[in-house]
Amino acid sequence: MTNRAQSMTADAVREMLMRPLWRISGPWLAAVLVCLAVVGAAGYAWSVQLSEGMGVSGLRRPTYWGLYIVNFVFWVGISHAGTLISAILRLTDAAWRRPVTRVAEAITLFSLMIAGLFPVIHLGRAWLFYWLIPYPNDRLLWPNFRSPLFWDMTAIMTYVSASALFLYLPMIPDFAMLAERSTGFKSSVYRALSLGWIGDDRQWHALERAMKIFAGVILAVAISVHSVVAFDFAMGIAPMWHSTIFAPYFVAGAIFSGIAALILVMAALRRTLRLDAFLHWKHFNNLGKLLLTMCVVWLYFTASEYLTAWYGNHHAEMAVFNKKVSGEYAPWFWTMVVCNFFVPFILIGVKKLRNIPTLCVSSVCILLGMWIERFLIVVPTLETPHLAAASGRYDPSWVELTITAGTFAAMILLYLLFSKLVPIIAVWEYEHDSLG
Amino acid sequence: MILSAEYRAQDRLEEALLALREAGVSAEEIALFSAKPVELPEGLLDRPGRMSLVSILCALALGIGFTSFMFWAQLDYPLITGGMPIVSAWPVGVVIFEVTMGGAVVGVMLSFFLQGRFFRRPRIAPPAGPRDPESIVLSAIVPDDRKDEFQAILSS
Amino acid sequence: MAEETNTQPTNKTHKWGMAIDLDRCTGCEACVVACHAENNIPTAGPEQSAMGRAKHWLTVDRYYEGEFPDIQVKYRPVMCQHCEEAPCEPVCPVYATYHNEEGLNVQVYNRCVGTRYCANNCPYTVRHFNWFEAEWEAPLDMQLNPDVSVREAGVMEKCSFCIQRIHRGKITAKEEERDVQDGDIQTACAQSCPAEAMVFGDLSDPDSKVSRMAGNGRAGLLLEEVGTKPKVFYLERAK
Repeated sequence: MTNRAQSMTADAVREMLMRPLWRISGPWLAAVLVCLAVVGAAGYAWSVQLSEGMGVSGLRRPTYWGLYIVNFVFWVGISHAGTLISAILRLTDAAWRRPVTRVAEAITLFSLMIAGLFPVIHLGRAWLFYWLIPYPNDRLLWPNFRSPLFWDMTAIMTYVSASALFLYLPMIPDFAMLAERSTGFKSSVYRALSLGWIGDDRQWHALERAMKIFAGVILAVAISVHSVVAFDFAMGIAPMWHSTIFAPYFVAGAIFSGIAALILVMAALRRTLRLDAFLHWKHFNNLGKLLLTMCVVWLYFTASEYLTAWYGNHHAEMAVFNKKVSGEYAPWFWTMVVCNFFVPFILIGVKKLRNIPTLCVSSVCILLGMWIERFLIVVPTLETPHLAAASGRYDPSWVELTITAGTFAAMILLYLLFSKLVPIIAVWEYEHDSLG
Repeated sequence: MILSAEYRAQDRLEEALLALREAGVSAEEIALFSAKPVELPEGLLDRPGRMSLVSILCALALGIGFTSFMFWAQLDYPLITGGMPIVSAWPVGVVIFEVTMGGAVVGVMLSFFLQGRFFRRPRIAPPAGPRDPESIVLSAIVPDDRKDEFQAILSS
Repeated sequence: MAEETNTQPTNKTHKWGMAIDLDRCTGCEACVVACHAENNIPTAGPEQSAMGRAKHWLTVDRYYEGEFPDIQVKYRPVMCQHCEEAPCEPVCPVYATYHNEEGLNVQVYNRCVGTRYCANNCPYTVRHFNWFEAEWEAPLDMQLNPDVSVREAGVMEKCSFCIQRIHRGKITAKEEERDVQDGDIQTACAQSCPAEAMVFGDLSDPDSKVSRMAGNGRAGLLLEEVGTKPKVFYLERAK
């Protein structure tokens, strides 16, 4: 694939990147309606849960956490897409990142918005979620700062606001450009969003400085956020949760699933928005190589985790271990290993097999495998508690499955809307690299 | 008064800037309008900023502030714990970290708006009308009596 | 909170605990029924129980040894152990569970938002969640204990060592201007046990029955290796 975009003028680049905006096509509308329907169904499921009680879910004693927490961890993991690409690649000044940054940052923000819903959805009295916030009151309410769930709340709130700003800042020049090129109400909205950007060197300098510092801060926050989510498990004493490796394990897994999600979204956008000129094989290849690295890192962490549990032979841990590796959950476990390691290792490792379609296959497998991994972390441990007499089983109900489906639909929906309102590749960043 | 000129080549722009600076125009009185960031050699048109310092100060302020608030609130609140410590430094360390990072974010945003002189009427107005995205407009405030001299610099 | 100290007749602080003699326990589950009646615990019904949602603050676990016809069954009633170092306490984000000065692990229903982290962290799995609003078919709704609140859906609950009976015992003692004597306060389960296998009392009083049982050579703790320092002593003949 030739670098066609580099032979285009800046005007032509803008034209191409702005073409999809505000243009509603049949397939797009159909996709939006389908997603809205699924999200609507999820909303209905949640309303049933709110009115009738948590009993409509599949949760029970002893599995007090289930699909909601699995989804929460999964979506927080996906959010590391943007952080890795934008932050790390910005800090290392890797030029190939430029067409990819906004796509990645949008994935981060949307998946965080979705992830942030789950701590509220899974609450027994969800309408009282604000009690976790320290506010002056006369009811002797105060949060417990020592609880990992409180750390969760601060971490996610910081990460969401930082990610939102990280996505918004580089959009300011694009909003100014869109304001110039549109008319009427659209123009005034874009103008308002551009905060009076005039494009003088002072503002560009401030923007670049801000992005650089932001990249460092967001990297630190992202690592801490997923570590804190891991602490929800690791700080507890449940068998096979109380593992010191959880924090780095989760961060590595998050980066892994994040890159997979990014590859999928990029491939989809390249096809639907016809961005072949901007998203080249080089981008996919580099991301594929990163994915391969993370695949091996994932295997390393998983092997460390399971090997130490097995060798330590603690009776409560072995009950969970056996359930996962050779017992009832063995098909899930080995599917996870195949999806997360063997498929990407072969499809990406063997150069001849590496191309965009096989990368997408690997990514889908990895997303599936990572979701199963989160499930296997949460459920088998809870099913086999310390006191064996309290063992049980978990079967998700239609409410949890619908809400899970709803989150995937919500992600797609948010992306569909986003791609119509804002150029998916930062025009000024792209020009800065290839033409400037 | 304000004079402007449009440039397409980086070297011509740098020459003009150098000439302007040597003729006595300060960096404060020069503005470059472009559709993407322009990279200039150091010293030509430096915009000193204190973004790192501001963000660190904000981070520390918020971090220390929230930590103090946490400790004061916990101790002020008559909770019975039957032995378990009410205030515990290590567990709340995570919260302190997050809030400190949040402070850094606030600091960056504040200095971004200040340094970029947002929400203020710009001293040198941007050129009106649609512009060629590849061109860079150099505008400078020059003293009225030397107008012709600077006009010559900018047209060369 | 502050109300605790007002009901103390003297400055004496108790340390409530229980001792259960497993060699006496017949597995009749009268304690379970008494607990339900005393603490307004609704029955889950056959479908919900099949799902694993039976809510018994006190369960009698059965352990089978050997093959038919030489089967031995051992019964162990398990309720909240009111651990001295309870793992459920630090993890509640809204401070709905904490330890009071008398050694009880207290659950504040009004504060609970239902994150269920405490239940996951309990190694004994003695914490229960209100999956639905509690319902009693008439006329059972007329036998509710007025001293105990009915919990809302979405709130955690567990054995409270019949804290309402503890309060009543202390108030009575204060009115009669004397100290609480051993045997004044009995939890519903201990009161109803026909084999007198369950004993409740003050562990800080060395002469109380529960202290003497706890000092017995047959006494041990459940899941002691986890290190939660539970306050329910199980007496059984060593094998």
